[in-house]
Amino acid sequence: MENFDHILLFKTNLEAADQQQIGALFKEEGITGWNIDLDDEDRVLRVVSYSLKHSYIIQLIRACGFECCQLT
Amino acid sequence: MRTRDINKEQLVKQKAIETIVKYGLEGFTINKLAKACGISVGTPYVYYKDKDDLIVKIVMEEGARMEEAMLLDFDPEASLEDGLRIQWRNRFKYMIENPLLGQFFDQINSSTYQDQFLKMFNGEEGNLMSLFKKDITTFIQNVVKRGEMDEMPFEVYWSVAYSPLYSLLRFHHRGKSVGGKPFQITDEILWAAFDRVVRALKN
Repeated sequence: MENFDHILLFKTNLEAADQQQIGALFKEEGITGWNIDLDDEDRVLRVVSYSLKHSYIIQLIRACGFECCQLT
Repeated sequence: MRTRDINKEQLVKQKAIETIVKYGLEGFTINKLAKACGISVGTPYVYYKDKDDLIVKIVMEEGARMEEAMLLDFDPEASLEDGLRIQWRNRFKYMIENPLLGQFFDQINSSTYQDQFLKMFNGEEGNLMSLFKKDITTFIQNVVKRGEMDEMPFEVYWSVAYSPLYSLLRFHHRGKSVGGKPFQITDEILWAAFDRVVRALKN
């Protein structure tokens, strides 16, 4: 079976207007594959990364003043 | 470790179609979908980036499946009657076997996603339904060239050729015809309607 550990999912309170800020932040970290499902009540942030851990992304997002926790 | 589970992926897709048909596209979210499937909210995101990605992927996959079903045994060189008969058989079979998908595509066609899909459906090679469109166009050109049918606007041809079939299918799926009369489609009814359609189109 295919492994999907590189898809990291988070529940956040991000809005459309925050996408630019997040984009700039992620660019510095070398994250190219990411998106926020703005249609969903959990504002799911989806990050594709083979090297970064959930805890690291949570720390990054929270440091900007947003809510972020791992989506289980 | 999170892994791709084909059964779960199929379940997510099936439930997404059911939920969209039942509650419409506007209120549809991945959260609601996950709840309907009894799976964790994160699972659909393994397969799809977001709501838009899910809808686009389902339309592409199901569109390809529909194209294949509609073109089964269809020969663009066939006579008007034979070609149309295959089209009726294929469309009938597809709609009976996939009752929800007809309604799903209706939802898509009356939504804000319509423009996006019309672009995909522009007939360029490799695009959604391009082969289907090409074969149907060739078929109509051939029957007109052979004098089996007069030239007419495509919409006129389509309405005469298929509206009776889709009306009968709608009655069947509702279980009722005009005025609430109980209705179930039979081969006899289907092909009786087909004969009338051929007579209407044929010179």
